[in-house]
Order: sequence, then C-alpha cells, then structure tokens
Amino acid sequence: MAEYLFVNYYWQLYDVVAQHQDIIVSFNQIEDHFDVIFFERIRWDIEFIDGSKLVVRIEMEISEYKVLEKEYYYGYYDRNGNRLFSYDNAPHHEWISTAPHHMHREQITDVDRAYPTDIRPVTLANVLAKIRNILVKGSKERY
Amino acid sequence: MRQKITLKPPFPKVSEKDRYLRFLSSKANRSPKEAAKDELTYIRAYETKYGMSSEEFFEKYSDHRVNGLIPEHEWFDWKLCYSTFQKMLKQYNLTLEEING
Repeated sequence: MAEYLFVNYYWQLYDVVAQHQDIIVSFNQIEDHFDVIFFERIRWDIEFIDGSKLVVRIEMEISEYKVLEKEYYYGYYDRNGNRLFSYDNAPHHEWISTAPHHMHREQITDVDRAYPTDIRPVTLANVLAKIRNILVKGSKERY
Repeated sequence: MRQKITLKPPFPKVSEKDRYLRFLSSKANRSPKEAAKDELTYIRAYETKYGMSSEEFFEKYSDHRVNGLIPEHEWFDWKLCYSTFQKMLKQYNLTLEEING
C-alpha cells in the first residue's frame, strides 16, 4: 500500500515535469522506481534549454494516507555549475520566518546566507514555474 | 546494477495501467538485498571521494553543511542516500554483513 502511494506520487511529479517539457532538454533518473520502491525517495536531475540544471532530491513519508516531502532539496544551477538558487527544509535556519523551509541565492561571498522562501509552498510545480519565468519570460526578478 | 535513464522530450505518456505494471515489474526484477548492495556501492563512492565514512559524515555534518567542504547538491545527495539506506536496512531486516556476503 505505502509503496504504491509513493509510486503514485512519483508519477504525479513526472506529470508536472512533463508539463514543462518545452523548456527541458533531458530528464535524468535512476531506472524505474528503484529509488521509490526501495528507498522512498526521488532523485532527479533536469537539464534545461539554456544548459541550466535543477537537482531534485526528495525523501517521502506517509501521513494519513498522504505522501509528504519529509525532506526536500531543489537546487538550480547555471550551465557552469554555479548555484543560482536552492530550496530545502533542513532544520538548520530556525530564525527564518518560513523555517524550516528556506532558500539560498547565488553565493557571492564566503557566507552562504539563508532567506525566507519566495515561493509558497515549495513544490516541484512552483520551482519549475519559477524556472519557466526565468527562461521563457526573461524574468528580471533576482534569483 | 541500477542504471541511469535519460529521457528527452517528448516524454512518453504512460497510462495508469502501465504505471502499475511497471511498478510490479520493478519490484519483481530486484530483491531488497540486491537494491541495498547497489546502494552501498554508490555510498562508498562518496566515502572514497571525501575520505570519510558515511557514519562520520552523518554524525558531523548532517545538521549543517560546511561551506566549501562538500558541494551543496552532493551534501544533500549523500545525506539522503545514507539516511534512506539505513531506513531500508531496518525495513527489510537486512544487515551490512548479509549485503556484503
């Protein structure tokens, strides 16, 4: 039962990615369901038309028959591997107003500051919508 | 060994029925022990790369990332792989000895 809920969630997210396939060049993952069935997680790397990349790491859990993202990391990198922004819910920035959910921006100095998230909730759908804005609409919004 | 798959658009449309069938065949194709063995190989690659055991990494750094020590995406990946691997061992009642043997 739990396994199939996780697999179902995997396919829900797959459908979200498929909605954005016009801005995607490649979608990398471990063979079907390996991560989902045995390890209750999702690990995807998605490459976009400008060479940028989204790293998706999710650990899933079930609460009241619903799949939740117990831990997540969505990291967006430019073609040279420099981080443009990332979102995660690791509980190490308790002072952030959106804690545990927080984001990091381009790292310009040695200090890697955390900020409240600019998208709520942090979901794959919302992260991909933000990336679409940047790639297609040329959003000038700061990463 | 598990394989990495690269999909390129257009992504295939997969029916509900095929999703379920793929789930069943994925389960049938590999035992938990085989999956754990594959995973261990993956985790060991991180240990070699960063010169520390996963236990040490997890104990010292799972709560916070040290800037410059491990790139952010690898820090998350290693942490996720190790913690889910431990959970999987418990769930399937596996030990490292069994996996290595």
